[in-house]
Amino acid sequence: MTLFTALSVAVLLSSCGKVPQAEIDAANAAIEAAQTAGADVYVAGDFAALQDSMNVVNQKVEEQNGKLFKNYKAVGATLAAVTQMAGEVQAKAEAKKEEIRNEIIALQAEVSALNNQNNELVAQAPKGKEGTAALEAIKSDIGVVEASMAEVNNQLTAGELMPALDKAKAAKEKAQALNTELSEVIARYSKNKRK
Amino acid sequence: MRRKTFYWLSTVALFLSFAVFRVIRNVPQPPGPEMKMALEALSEAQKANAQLYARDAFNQAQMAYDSAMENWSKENSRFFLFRDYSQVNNWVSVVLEKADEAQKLSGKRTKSTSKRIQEGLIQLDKKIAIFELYYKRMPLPQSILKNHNKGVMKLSETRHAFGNKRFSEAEKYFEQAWELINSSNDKAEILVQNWFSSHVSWQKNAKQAIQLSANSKKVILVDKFAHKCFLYQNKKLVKTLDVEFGPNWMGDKIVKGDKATPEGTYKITAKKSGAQTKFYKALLIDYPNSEDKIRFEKAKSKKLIPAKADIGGLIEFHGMGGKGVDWTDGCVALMNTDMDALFRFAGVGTPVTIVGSVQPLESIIKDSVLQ
Repeated sequence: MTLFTALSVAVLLSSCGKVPQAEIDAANAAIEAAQTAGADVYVAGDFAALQDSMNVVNQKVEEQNGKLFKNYKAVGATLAAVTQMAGEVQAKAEAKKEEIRNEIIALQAEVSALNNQNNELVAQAPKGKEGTAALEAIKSDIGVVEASMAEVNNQLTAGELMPALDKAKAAKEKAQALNTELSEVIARYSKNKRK
Repeated sequence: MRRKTFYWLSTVALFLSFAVFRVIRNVPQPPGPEMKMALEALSEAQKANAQLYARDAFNQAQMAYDSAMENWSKENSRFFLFRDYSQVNNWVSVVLEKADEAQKLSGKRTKSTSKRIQEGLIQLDKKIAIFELYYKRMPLPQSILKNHNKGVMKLSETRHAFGNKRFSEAEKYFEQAWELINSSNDKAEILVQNWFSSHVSWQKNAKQAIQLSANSKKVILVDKFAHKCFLYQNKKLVKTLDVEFGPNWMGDKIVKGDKATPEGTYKITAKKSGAQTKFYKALLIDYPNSEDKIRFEKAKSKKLIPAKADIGGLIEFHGMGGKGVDWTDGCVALMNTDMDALFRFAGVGTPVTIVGSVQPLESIIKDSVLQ
């Protein structure tokens, strides 16, 4: 009976006294996966909190390492929570990326439609010397918007989502301004032609 | 004898217990609380974006923290009585100092960057307004227009990044916008300044034109830069009309087909309406006058223009304007309603003075900036 109790205590002590290296590795791998997914960029606050949690775990491990009777049970539980948190942060980053990607794609479609509309307006615009002078500058502006959208596409492919989003938004503003300008030129021309 | 042994053993045990107690009391305390403080300091610095705006100090704090952890681990591997955490605590001090420095520096830099961008946005907006108001209507090289447009879009990108508090990217975009907008404005300004080198004679001509309107006489004064036509009678401005020119309006007319509007003193030679003109109503002026002809011949002799070049003619004030662009072949176009007013005002022989600008360039730019 005494022998059995002694063995049980020994097993218990040995099971609680071992550094949970596999769990630590799993947590670190999960954090790295979250970072690879862009968590440090797209959900920076959550990622910083995740890193903080892992740092706290590392400190707790070290605290236990310094003790005569080590007990990593609490550390193991925290590690499981960190691993889960890393998974959640990764998912959040993926979702955020997807959201931004969709926003860019929507902006690409909008700008493309505006560019088409602007090119149609250019085609409808007054021909001859009146039209040429009026539209030369606008045609150049449309070219700048188109070039900018080509860059957006490259950035999107390269996964540079935030710069692509900034650029796409700027391109949309410019395309809209051009649309208004073109409509005004045509309206002004028609108005004066009727007189 | 047994009692004696018991007393002796008890004394030894007591002594040993005391010794163990003293040893345990002197066992170095693990640096848990200190390390926790260090981690918190590092975390605060990170929240202040120190890794972006105070990179050096933040990296030093981070490295000191890693060293502290490494040292802690190293000491833990030693027998507990021989552990010495003083090195760990030294590193913790470095972490606290550097993290604090990084946090403060980052806050300062973020604030100054933010202020610089905000002030820069206002400055560039003014420059864009000047460009849109004046330079955009000028016959500028495509490269200048393109750079201006790129700059405008970069500024818009700056606003989006700044709005999302991504100051580092906003700063990068802002630098690019600053370069593009300033370079296009500067190049446009140089072209305009060169053109404005004739301002003294323009001002003289404009004054003479107003003087000429004394004694109930009527005079038409055209300001190309302002795109305005001023009608004077008795030295008083009686009407101001908006006008449009040819695409190369900035500069004097030299040859036929250059789409420039002549600068100088002329007079109305004919009034056209109905089937006489396809531009609603028209007032023909006597371009080329004697000065134009002399200038044309000089340019020809200096081989600035081809030997077979034609000086052109048929420069008119006419209707069908109001398109918001400069589209004529060198004529002065007005909206039909304004053309009606001008047609009523002028007769054959009415003097016409066309100048680059009545106002000096400095006051034009200054007024726009103030607005």
